[in-house]
Amino acid sequence: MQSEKQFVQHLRSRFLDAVNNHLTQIQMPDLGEYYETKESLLEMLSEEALYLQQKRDIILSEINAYLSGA
Amino acid sequence: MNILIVDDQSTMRTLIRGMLEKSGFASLDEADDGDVALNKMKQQAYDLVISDVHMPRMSGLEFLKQARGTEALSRVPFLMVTTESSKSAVLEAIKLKVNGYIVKPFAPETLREKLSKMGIAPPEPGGGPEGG
Repeated sequence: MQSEKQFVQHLRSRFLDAVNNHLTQIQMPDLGEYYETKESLLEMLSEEALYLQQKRDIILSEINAYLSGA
Repeated sequence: MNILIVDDQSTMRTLIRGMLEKSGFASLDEADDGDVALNKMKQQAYDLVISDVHMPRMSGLEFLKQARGTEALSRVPFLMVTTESSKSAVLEAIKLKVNGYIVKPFAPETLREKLSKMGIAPPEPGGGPEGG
């Protein structure tokens, strides 16, 4: 079992990877210019939501595994 | 100027591609992990690789390590895209002679400035596919 500090560092890395990818997209000042149609913008947001959901689930499963002593 | 964008997240690849296109770069290719990228690099010459650090299967650091360890690919410039938390990853990348790194979240200006510092500029308009 990894130490608490190692685990928190690992989680920090996972968390920032998930959130900063998303922020890079949604903080883009001219995001609309990157997607020619409303549909393509919505498609990107839908894909982003899926990535974020997957990363959230991985983080949660790692926390649960850690708390259960796995 | 052929550029390879490597990221497991398709939305990030699309965004980086868009930033580069708006900066005048036209010859852009993509790979969704290090393995695919290494195979592409063995088949085609790239002038720059922009790679994410956090990727499943093969991390960006392992990808960089393998490229540096392959004679034909060892001198291709690499720009690594990382998160704030990856300071140790940045140090490791510097050891592997990375040419630059950029921290997420980043704006298009940051990418342009970083490429400029690396001496990478888009081809002159009308300079042809190799112009630059």
